[in-house]
This record gives sequence, C-alpha cells and structure tokens, in this order.
Amino acid sequence: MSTSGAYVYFAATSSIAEHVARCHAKRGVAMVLVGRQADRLDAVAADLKARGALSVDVVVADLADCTKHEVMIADMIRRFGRIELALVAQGVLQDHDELMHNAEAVVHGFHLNATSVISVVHTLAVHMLPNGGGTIGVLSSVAGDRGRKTLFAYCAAKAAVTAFCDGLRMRLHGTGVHVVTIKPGVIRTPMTAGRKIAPISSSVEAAARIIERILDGSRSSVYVPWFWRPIMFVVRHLPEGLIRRSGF
Amino acid sequence: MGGEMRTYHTWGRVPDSTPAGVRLPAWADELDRVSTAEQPFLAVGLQRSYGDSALNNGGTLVDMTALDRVHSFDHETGILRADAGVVLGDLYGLIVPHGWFIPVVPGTQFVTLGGAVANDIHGKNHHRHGTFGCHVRAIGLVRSEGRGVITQDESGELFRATIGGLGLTGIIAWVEVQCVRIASAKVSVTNTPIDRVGSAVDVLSEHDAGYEFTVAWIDTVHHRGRGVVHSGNWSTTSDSLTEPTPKPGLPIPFDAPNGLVGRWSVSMFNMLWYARHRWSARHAEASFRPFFHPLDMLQNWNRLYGRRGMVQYQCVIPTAAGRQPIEDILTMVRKERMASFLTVLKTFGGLHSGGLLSFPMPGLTLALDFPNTGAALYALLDRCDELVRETGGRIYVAKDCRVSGPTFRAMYPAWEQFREHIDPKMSSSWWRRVAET
Repeated sequence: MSTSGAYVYFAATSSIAEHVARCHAKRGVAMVLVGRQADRLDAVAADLKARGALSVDVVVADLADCTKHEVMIADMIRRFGRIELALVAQGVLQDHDELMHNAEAVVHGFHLNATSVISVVHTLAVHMLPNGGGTIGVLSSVAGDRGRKTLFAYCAAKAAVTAFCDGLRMRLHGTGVHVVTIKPGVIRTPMTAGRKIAPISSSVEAAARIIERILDGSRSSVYVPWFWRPIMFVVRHLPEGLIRRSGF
Repeated sequence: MGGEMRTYHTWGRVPDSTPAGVRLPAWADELDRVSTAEQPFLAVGLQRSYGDSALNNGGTLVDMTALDRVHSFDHETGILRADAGVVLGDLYGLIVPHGWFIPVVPGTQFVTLGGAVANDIHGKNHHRHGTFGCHVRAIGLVRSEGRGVITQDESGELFRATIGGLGLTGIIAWVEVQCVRIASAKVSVTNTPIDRVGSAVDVLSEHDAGYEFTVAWIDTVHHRGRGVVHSGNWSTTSDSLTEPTPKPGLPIPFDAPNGLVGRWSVSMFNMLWYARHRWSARHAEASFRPFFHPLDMLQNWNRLYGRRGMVQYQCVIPTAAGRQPIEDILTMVRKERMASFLTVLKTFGGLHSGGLLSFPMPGLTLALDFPNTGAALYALLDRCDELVRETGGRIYVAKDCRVSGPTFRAMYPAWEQFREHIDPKMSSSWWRRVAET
C-alpha cells in the first residue's frame, strides 16, 4: 500500500488524458487506467511503464454504466489507500446533423458526456473526503460556456459538467478535496487530421503540459490555453443574433 | 469533420503536394483499416525528408505521429521496442538516464523510428556503427494482405527491402532496436580548423580511427574550401547521465524573404562559424543534444529559405574514386556562383545494413543545400548527378526532389529486386517519379 496515493485516469485512452498521464509517469507514481478497450489500455500501460511509472493497473469498464462507479472507486481506495489525483476525461463528440433526427442519441450523448462524468466525480469526492483528500481534474470544454447551433447537445452536456464541478468545488472548500474544471479550446486530435482547422488550435502535448501544471496548483476553473478566457468572455456576451449568423 | 485538405510539403518545401485523404491512426488496431483506402497509401512520420519521398500527391497519407507508444525498454539489455511514430528526441529522456543511447542518430532529433528505418539513416558514427538498419532486430509490418513481424534472419529479402525502403513495403507499425551503452551524457569534442577541402579529408580519415563521431563542415564560398572538422567521443571524464533540461529551439515564426539565404549571407555565416572555431578552444565537453543536433537550435529553420524552399543534394563517392570528384563538385558549385549554406563532408565506413536501397557505401559523402533558385540550380545538379554516376556513387533519396528516373535506376541497380517487395496498394510521389518516368 502506497502512502503517496494513486493517479487515476478515467477514459485513459482519450488523447488528452493519455498525454497528461505521460507527463505524470516521469514522477514514478502508481497509476490506474480506466477505459473500455483492454488492448488499447494495455498499450498505454506499457508505454507509461517505460516512461517511468512505478506501476500501472488497468481497469476495463464501461463508464456509461454508472451503477459500477461506486464499487470501482471503493476498490481503488482499498488497494492504494488514497487517490492522490484523478483525471476524468470520458466524452464523445457526436455528428450533430444526425442528432437532429435522433432524440435517443441526444439523450445517450448527454448521458456519456454529463451524467457519467458527474457520477464519477461525485463518487470520487465522497470516497476521497475521508481518505486524505486529493485533486479531481475534470475535462469540460469551452463549448460549455455557450450553446451553439453546430454543437448544441455537446455544449449542453459540458455546461452541466462545468456547473456541477464549480458548485461541488465550493461545497468542498477547505476539506482537502479539490475539484478543477478544465476547459480546453481547440486541440488537434485524430479527428482533425489533414483538415484546415482554426489557426488558434493547440497540440495535445502542449495542452497536456498546461493541464499537468494546473493540476499541481490551486486554481479552480482554467482555460487551456489561457487565451480562451478572453475569447469566451466575448462569446458569452455576444447577442444571440450575432452568434447565430456567425455559423459556429 | 469537413474542411478542405491542406497542402503538404516536406522539409525542403519543394514540391507542394495535396493528398486526396489523410488518416491519423492512433491505435495499432486501426492500421488494418487503413489498407482499405481507395487511393494508393503511404505512411509518413514527421516528414523531415527534404524531397518528395514522404509525399503522396493525390493518394492517401497515413500520418503515423499519433502512434507513438513505447512497448518495452529493457534496462539490462538495452533492447527497445516502440511504435513507428515515436520521435528519437523523445526517447532520450527514457534511455539516457539508464546508460543507453540510440545507436545511430541523424542531424535532427525530430525523426520517427519508422522514418529512421525507411531511410536507413546514418550519422556521425557511420564509420564505426553503420546505419540505423544495422541495429534493428525486428519490425512490425502491416501490409495490405495482412500483418507480420519481420527479422533479418527469418524474412530475408523483405527485411532488406524494408530497411531503407522509403516506407513502400508496408506500414512500419513498430520497430525493435538494440541501443548502445554509454557511460556519460556528455561528448568530448575536438574542433579542428582546416584550410582546404583536401585537408578535411585527411583529418577525417585520421580521426576516424580515434573518434566515434566525425563530420566536417566546409565553406563552399571560400576559394579553397576551408572548414572545421568536428570529432567527438563519449566523455570519459564526466560520468553523469543526467542531461541539462533541453531548451526548446528558437522558433522562426514566418517565412523569410526569398533572397535572404544567398551568396552574401552564406559567406558571412561561414566566416563567423570558421572564426568561432579557429580562435576558440579546440577541445570542449558538450551535452549530447547540441552536439548531435546543432540545427535544432532553430525550429523550422527551413523557413529562412523563404517560400521558394531549398534543395538538398547529398551524394556518396566510393573509396576507389578518391577525393577528386568531391573537389570537382565543389569547383562546379563555386563556378556557378551558387552558395550552399551548410556543406557537410563525412567518410562512410564498410558496415552495411543490407538494405536494398540503402544509401551509404564505403567512401566520402558530401551534402550541400541551396536556396531553390530554379532552372540554373537544377542544371548544375544534373551535371553533378552525371559525375557521381560515373564514379559508381549515388545520391541520397531522403534529400532528393529532382533526380531523373534513369539516373536513379542506374545508381540503385537493386531497384528491380526492391520493386518485387512493394505493397501493391502503396506508392509515393517519389516512387512514381523515379520508377515510372
């Protein structure tokens, strides 16, 4: 049993979570990777071990099934004594043209992007509270700052995550459990390969280094990179007519 | 996601290329699906080749840089297995603290393992350790008809076709390489100023016996071709395996005007470089990264050449032909009043990886780079090709954007043998240029 506690990554095969884990591996800590696909998790685990992680455990689970969160997290606390840091990263970006004809898919997407995240964060908080505290980093998005026609369902789910995390953080103030709302802007991932995308996009490596720094600090709600804060300030205050016509 | 395809080019920025599609697989299981692409496909890494060997105009580019996980690294044996998209510069932090190093590294740290195999890269230690391919134990290869593991002993010619095979024999998914032991993260460097090309060759052959790393830099604008020979060995005085935190290179944020790199600026730069080494200490201890990768001090230094880009020319002249052809090429360049910014001379040793299209052979290799001034430059380089071919030498494909099909085929007689092993669904802009014209 380690006293320094484990680093846990929910949806460890997501590009951002994996790259943050690579930054942490250099610290020689015990890591736990949670995700759906065993072979992919094993590939990430081998890599993190080679990069210096003390140990890497793999938990194969479908995070959409919220009934399993309680047992899974209680089990981690039992094994490692403490969770030093958790990064919650699950999410899916759906084709919003298709969502126009499919209410079920909208609900399903919301469940993955919001409900399952809220359930994991809540369960973590409950278990970390009596076990020495720790940090919970949650990957929300700049999309949660304002509803947009191109990503209406995604924006709604991220808005829920942001509000939940912001509120819970205030509730837990002074307890030793720190919830950080992380709002990445446009990050280059396999989905944007070969396409002309926003010139203000960031590499996933750069985003991961910023997130590593944020998780070590005491900030509450952080844009990645920082310049999304003024951008989103403007976006939040634009009249709807303008946002609608801007086509984004 | 929608959006227009962007334009691709490699390090020399000549030529431009637009692929019909781009895939960015992040997981090994996605590689099988890539071969269902409708157009011929080509796997590429960081595209640090200079010409068109890492381009696939009108075809599908498979960007391998997201497939960048280490599978295993054995601290005892130094055997490293990792995805093809892993970048050499990122491996240092993993292996150097345990007393290991990559057996062969090129002038830039920004090359992937897959690219190192596909170009059978060489470095300052060729006279001792041969090419990268000499140290490869196994390769995971995904061909359109299925995946497999190939090794020197069991796969014979397919392995030899893949080493230096420009990525055409299948997608290189992972590479297993034998690292070399080091006792220090520092290199003891000796800088020897020389006053003519001839003495560079003498100093190189003399130093090859006593130094693991040697390379000569030549001032092509200077009438005799003065320069500096940089030689090095892993340090025996320092036993520290920790590297000082590497500084990120200085970014060049925009394209310089086309004429910035010209005769005047090149001769100024060369004069300063010569003066620096002529008047400073001849022996120094250097950290390994700046020693092996001095150009990485500037990010995107290729932008200094402006939008028109640059053309690299690297050839090897076999030992039997002596040093005269090198002097002849430099004289031709000088007569045409062309200025090569970075001119590098090095001796190649006798070790060979067996790669069918592998570039090095025992002899002297010369690398020149020119701003892309168009027709006059191309005519000069055609004449250089002629001279190289007559000596039985050849040019380096990774640097080439212009050699004619017949010239390439004469320089690489094994090309027909190589052709048998190409994956029928793969191709590249370069291959179409040299094999079909």
